[in-house]
Amino acid sequence: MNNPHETTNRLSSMSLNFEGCVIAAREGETVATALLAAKAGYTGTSQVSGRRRSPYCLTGICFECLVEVNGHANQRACMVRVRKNMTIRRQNRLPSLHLKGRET
Amino acid sequence: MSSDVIVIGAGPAGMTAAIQAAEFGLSVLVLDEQPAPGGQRFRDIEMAERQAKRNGGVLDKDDAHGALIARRFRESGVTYLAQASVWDVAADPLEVSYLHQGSSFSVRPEAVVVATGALERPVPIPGWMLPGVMTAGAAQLMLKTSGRIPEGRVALLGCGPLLLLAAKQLLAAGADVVALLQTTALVDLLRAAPYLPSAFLAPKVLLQGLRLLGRTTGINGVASLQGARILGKDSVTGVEYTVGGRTAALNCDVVLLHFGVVPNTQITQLVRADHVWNDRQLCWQPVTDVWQETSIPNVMVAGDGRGIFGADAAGISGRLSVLNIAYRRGAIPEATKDRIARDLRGKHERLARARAFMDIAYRPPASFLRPNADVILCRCEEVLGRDIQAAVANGASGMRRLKAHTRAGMGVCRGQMCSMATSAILSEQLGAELGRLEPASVRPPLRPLTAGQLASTKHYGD
Repeated sequence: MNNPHETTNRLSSMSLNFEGCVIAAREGETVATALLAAKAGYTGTSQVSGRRRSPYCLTGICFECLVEVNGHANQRACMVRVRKNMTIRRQNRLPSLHLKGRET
Repeated sequence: MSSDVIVIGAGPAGMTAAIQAAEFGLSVLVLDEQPAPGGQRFRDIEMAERQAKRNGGVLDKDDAHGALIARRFRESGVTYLAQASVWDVAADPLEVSYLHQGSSFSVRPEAVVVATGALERPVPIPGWMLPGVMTAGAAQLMLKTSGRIPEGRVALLGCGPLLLLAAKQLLAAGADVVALLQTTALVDLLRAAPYLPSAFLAPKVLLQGLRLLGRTTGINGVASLQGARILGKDSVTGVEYTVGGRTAALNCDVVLLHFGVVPNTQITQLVRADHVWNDRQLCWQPVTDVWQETSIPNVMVAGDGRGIFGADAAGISGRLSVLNIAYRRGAIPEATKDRIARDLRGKHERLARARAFMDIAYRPPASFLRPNADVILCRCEEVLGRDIQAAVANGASGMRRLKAHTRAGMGVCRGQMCSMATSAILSEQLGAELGRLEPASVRPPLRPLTAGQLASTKHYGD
């Protein structure tokens, strides 16, 4: 049987910057699958408990994979295709509305 | 930009709806969130086809058909916006608002075809938010779009044809599949047996099902699963599960959950179309007439968003959904409309009837549909089952009040992941059957947008 997902001849590869580290990505894939393959461990934290979260549905429904892409927050990693030299950072699922110095 | 019809979604139903509408001479705008046409079933199908050609191979028959639809869609002359996220649909006057390349736009079409398909039924079990847990569909999409398999030991858990298919595909691709834990029991298959004759109406569906059963025999399988808990602190370390009253555990690094698929009713709920509970598929679906029009005039639904019948039926449903739109616009005479409809409905009916066997055989068990008190239901706001129980004790008597009490469903996913489970617990607490309570209301924006984007929304066709 032919495997349409055959990986060997796939046009690869490019590098992304994730949390200051260089990771490899394949042309045509999304940021989410690149991060999963790079064993990123987690892609963000819950805004309620701070617990680690990672991509869950890969269809844009669950919003678990929100990351910062090239400085833009709240990007669903599963909906963004990789591009050369993208810079990706983990984020608290919703950036905190907490203002610095508010407690003082 | 003016459009006779806006099609939301470019899966099998959306693509065929758009192609058919364009053939009738209507102006069509297609909005889809993905970077390429195909929907989930044919995700990145154009890339797969290019890849296959480069490797000197061919796509299987179903995928080749999907690639053909995508090609005809590209050549149909419709305006197609990829990576466009609809954030609102208003009913009167009909207006669709969407985000595209960082800006917001609003368009007033004559009609809308909602072709947003299905989503995997979210079933909360303890530990389902841990890194390492994904849906089986997600693993399948990962394989399709990146050629990658999940790293480490993989356990699949749940029920349904897609669970079996994912297991088979992952094994073939070299994944370390250590267990297939199914809730499906012999009694489910016996209960479904009376529906088997109808399955012969669409032998292709039946054969696909039988083939799935055959190919998963090599995996360490467990059936009749009664309960499960995913273990781990920062990520998955294993699964603990209950079968026949006895508890066992296994070690693994990845858990893939799947409990069938349900219609994505976010947009039809948003426009407040009438919905009805489907007792066989255990989900809400919009009420539609023979032309697939909802209770909101000129809002049609095509494909799995109307009830789960699969990709082949979705392709037919897409074509059906634009017939009355074309007729009302004067693009086709009534006789043409009726003739095409008769042919398409016959085909759709056969596929739909064949589906009953699978619906009954692969129903998720009640024990999974009503999660325990200590399970996080709402992943966004981390609301537990017991928070729902406490809210009901404090007077929350419907989904709206439950939201106010607990924040369940108020997170960024807009309740898509939790509303079925929260309403199941609410029903249980109130002594109501599943599907008797009003579903949670859906409000805009469906996708996060900034105040700046909202304020600078560009309006077309005012």
